Amino acid sequence: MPLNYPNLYPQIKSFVSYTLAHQKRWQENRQACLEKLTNYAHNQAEIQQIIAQFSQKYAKFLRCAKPTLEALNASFEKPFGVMLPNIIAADGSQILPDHHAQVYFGLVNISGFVLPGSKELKAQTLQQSHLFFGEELDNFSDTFLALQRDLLERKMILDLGKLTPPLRVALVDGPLEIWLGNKIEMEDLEQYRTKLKDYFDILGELFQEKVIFAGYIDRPESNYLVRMLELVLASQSGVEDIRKFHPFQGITDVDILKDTLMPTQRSAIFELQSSMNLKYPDHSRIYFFYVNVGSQNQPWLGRIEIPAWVSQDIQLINLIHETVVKQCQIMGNAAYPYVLHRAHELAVVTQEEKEEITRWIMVEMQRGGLPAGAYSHKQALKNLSPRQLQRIKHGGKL
Amino acid sequence: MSEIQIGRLISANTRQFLVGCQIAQKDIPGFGALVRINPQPDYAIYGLVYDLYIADDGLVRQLVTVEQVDERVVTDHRLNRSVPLEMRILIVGYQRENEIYHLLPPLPPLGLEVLWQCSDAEVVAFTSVGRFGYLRHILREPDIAPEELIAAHLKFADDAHRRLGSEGWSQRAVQELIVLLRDDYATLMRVLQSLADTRIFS
Repeated sequence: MPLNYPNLYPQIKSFVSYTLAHQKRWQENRQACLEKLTNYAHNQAEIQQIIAQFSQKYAKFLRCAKPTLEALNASFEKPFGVMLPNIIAADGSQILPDHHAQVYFGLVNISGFVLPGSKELKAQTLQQSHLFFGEELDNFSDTFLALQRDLLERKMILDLGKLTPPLRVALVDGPLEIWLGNKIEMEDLEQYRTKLKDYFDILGELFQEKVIFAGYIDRPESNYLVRMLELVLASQSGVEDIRKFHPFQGITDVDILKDTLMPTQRSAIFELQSSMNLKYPDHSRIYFFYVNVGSQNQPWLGRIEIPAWVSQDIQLINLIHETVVKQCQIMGNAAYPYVLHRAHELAVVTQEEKEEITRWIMVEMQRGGLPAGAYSHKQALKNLSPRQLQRIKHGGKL
Repeated sequence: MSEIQIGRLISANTRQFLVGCQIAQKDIPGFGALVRINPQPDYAIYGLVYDLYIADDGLVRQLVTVEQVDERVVTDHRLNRSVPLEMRILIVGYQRENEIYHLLPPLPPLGLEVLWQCSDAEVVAFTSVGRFGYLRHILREPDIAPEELIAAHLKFADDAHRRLGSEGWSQRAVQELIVLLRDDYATLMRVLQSLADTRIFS
């Protein structure tokens, strides 16, 4: 049915008025953030102490940047390397189980892509598909399947890393910190703990193999630096409960860095202060920095997350920095690492492929003497052709 | 028979078929080349390449906006991205039990049949049968630039004849074309103008 446009129009007007009203406050807050960043640029030790103090009581709720030795507002030029590393990328795609579909199953498709440093060698591709069914789908959740996918991506990175000669840089799309969901039910806790341990094992092997691993986040909405500055303000103002103290709400890290980072420059390195990051093995605690992969007139910042062992070696940081910038430059004005796009292209499962797999399963089930599946009535009705708008032609005839 | 495999059949009807092959494929036959499909051991269908098409996609469109495309990206695109080169083939005859006919085949080829490049001997054998009857299949298709196809094919076939020491074939072909087009002066002139650019008579 069509939307109620008359009903929507005044709401759209309200939306725009609201945005205009907040624009001024947003500008003021952004300016305040920038000033704080500049004033505290070299007060890394003091900020670390403030974070430590708030962590004692609010560790579970704290999620912010923690300074390292680099000045908060520092910017670094893209280095010029001599060697081109072999670049490994992995991505995953999934089919979520659907109670309304003909067959209840899940699927994760993982792809790996290796772009060699040498022009003489051919890029390599690898794909693995995993079907989930039966008991594997007991107590199923979208979060759990996404977790499985993330783990398989990292396993793919590790497997390809072992087969690829050094110098190797490996990229995944998204943060290095795997997402476990907002709330884990008690009966699922053991399962999640197992998965987390599996991930730590993979990180450990990547560290042993010296596969230089990073996560790339395009268009990051994170406010880790901003939150750090809010803690500084909280400390100065004597605020004790920082859980509801968000004076700079609505400002993201990109908002305060996009005018200070020139094209191809990176920001300072920060540690990710979070309760989850504290559980990570020391060598793979997560650090991050921002890099401007855009152009002079159109800055575009990405966030790069790296493990601790990479953050401690400036040559490795430079290698990741240069690799990401060069990979983004391949894509022109849609700056995004080429290898990650190729990995995504290989991983994506189309609607046609989903239907094909469903057909395969149904054929095999019938061969095995099992009844064929059917859509739920709800889905069957959704699958009906949409009503065509009638056009009255000249003379009143359709 | 030739053993240079070009690609595989995607679709077909009695008059033409569509073949796909990898862009990086070596020995891709050019416009006007004679090619062959063998649906059965004693049955071959011959055709002329009249169109070669490379599909674009969103990633290629994005990559071409960059001043300098990384060579590794070009290689990756050609070898890994499964972008096929599509060839449209006009059927011009068939061979059954060692007899060559310049007629449309009784049955079209089936999907995924292999396309083979014809050797010089096969080209000479096919083009020497009868009185160039296969040329009428080209002239009957106005949408495939028949003048250009005839010129390209005559050049291609003449080269094969010369390599095998056979002289005078192209003159006989042109004389037959004049007879075929004696009532269509406009088309005849276009064909002769195209043939002039092949320089097979210079």
